[in-house]
Amino acid sequence: MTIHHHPADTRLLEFAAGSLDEAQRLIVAAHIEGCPACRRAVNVLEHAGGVLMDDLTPAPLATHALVQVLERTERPAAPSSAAARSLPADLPAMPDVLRQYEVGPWRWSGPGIYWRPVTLPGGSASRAFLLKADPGTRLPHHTHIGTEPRWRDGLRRFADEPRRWSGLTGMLAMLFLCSCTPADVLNVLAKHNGIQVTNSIPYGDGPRRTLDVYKPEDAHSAPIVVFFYGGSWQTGSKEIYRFVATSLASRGFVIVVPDYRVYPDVPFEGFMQDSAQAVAWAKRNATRFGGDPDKLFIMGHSAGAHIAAMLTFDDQWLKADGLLPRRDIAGFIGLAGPYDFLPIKDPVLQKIFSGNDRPETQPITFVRGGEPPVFLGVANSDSLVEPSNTTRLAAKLRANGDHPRVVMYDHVGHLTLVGAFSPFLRFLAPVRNDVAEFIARIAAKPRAAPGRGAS
Amino acid sequence: MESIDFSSLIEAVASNRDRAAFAVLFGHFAPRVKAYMLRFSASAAGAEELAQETLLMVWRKAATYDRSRASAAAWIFAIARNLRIDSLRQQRCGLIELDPGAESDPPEQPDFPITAMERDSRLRDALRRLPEEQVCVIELSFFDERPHGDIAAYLGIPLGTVKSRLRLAMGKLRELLGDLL
Repeated sequence: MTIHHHPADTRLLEFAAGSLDEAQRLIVAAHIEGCPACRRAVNVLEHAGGVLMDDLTPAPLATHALVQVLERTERPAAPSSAAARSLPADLPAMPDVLRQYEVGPWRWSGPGIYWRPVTLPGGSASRAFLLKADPGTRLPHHTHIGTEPRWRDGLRRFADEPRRWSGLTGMLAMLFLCSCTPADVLNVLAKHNGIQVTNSIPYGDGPRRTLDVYKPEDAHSAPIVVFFYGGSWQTGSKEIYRFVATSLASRGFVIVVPDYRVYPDVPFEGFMQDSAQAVAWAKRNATRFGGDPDKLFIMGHSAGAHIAAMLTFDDQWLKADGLLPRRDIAGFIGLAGPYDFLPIKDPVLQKIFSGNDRPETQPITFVRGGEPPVFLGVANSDSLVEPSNTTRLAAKLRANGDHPRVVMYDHVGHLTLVGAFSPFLRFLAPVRNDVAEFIARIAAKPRAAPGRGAS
Repeated sequence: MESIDFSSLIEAVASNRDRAAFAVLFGHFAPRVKAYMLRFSASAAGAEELAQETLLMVWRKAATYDRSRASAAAWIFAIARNLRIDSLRQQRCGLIELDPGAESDPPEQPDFPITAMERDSRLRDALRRLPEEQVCVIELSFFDERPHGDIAAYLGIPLGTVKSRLRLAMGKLRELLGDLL
């Protein structure tokens, strides 16, 4: 059965929460029986209910509650007073949920239109009824009383799909279970913006060396961006950054989000090697996912921006995988990155970087001119990573003849800078737009000669 | 949450009538279900009764639990919710009409691409990302009998704002959980 109208999201939420009245609940229950998409939405919302309930402050039970319940498990369950009714024989193809209700006889309502009442328990204020109409019948204009919504279009044509109703006697074209279904029908199935996701492709050994690829369905020779998330080089997982990936993929780029090993499993050298391997994988596999290996960008946030910057500026990491940043990297995008943070005071970071004052762990050390194009985004009020990391890096790039694009954002912090990629937080700062424009601009330029010199 | 594998415990109750497993489930979930019931201004005694009833259902319906469809918390939440709806019906007109568990039997569904546990952690994460004001209306939807109009009055904001916050929140959840919804 093809369902064209779906309950609004808020209605599904109320259904999952159990706050609908009887008639509305019946309508939604009947709908989700036939609609896998809304059924999934309700399932997810019930999970939300489970999560929220789990987070409630527990209320202790009576002292012997467990014992009492265990005793009750010994007794047979009282027979249910509502053994499923069998549906009237002339209603063979109705949703199962109707079995729980008493359904009255058909009544004539007007030319070609019949209805029968559904008895709701609990003195429900609302009513539900079944409506059937001959093929092609137009439902007369009707409104609902009080706060109940009305049909959007006033007149609705009953679809002419006899095959669908082959289980019913020939004259019936369609049967509506009707209460006051919301008229503000949202297309809850709004396509998930045409992005194909491939999860956890291994680029090395072990669970931390896998990556997710987000491919716009129509991608062809698109720029490909490897995004390294942050997490103080100690935590993080690619799943959390799905919103960054979908947000950029919807601008037409292929996005690769790798996991990488972190401390205490590995120190600095370990996550640098993993990251380099992930970039090399992206280069090798770009075409498979509609990407152009010559438009390969590296991007990172926070600790991930440090990693991406190291890969871009210090040749040794990618060289191990046969790549040369100045030749093979089209651009670097760093968001709220630590690029210049010696001496290291934090004892854990000292372990990660094997000492407190090693310049070879700092991206800024390797800037010497002729780097790939650079975009640096930073939150003015970042309290976790000093924005001066960005300004110092930008200054050194400029001093060496590069032209980094630097954008300082108000109204965001260290985390919301990347949060602003999600559609919901986009109003905070145009980070996504700026990054997308940077990528698109660089990708549109004719390719510079390999080993391009200072710009 | 599920550092204890509650799903396995429910399965142990189903297959072996395992009382020790049930006791662990009871210890974790009964107080939360009671807290849930208390949100609906049930009397303390009523909330206690409904919490016990819910866990009794967990025992009786354990065999119908399917971990590929629901996390333990989601499954128990659905049972608790249905029992709450039912007790409301009884209060209104002294009728017991429905098998309390009937609605918690989900219809056949296609396989989900990820496990219920993953779904939970993704959801947790997604909820954490929602602005406070949106989480607030979602929570009130779940934990309050009030229709949205009353939620509006309670929060001192217009009804339209409640609805738009819910829509925003749902939109955000869809964004974060796109492949699940």
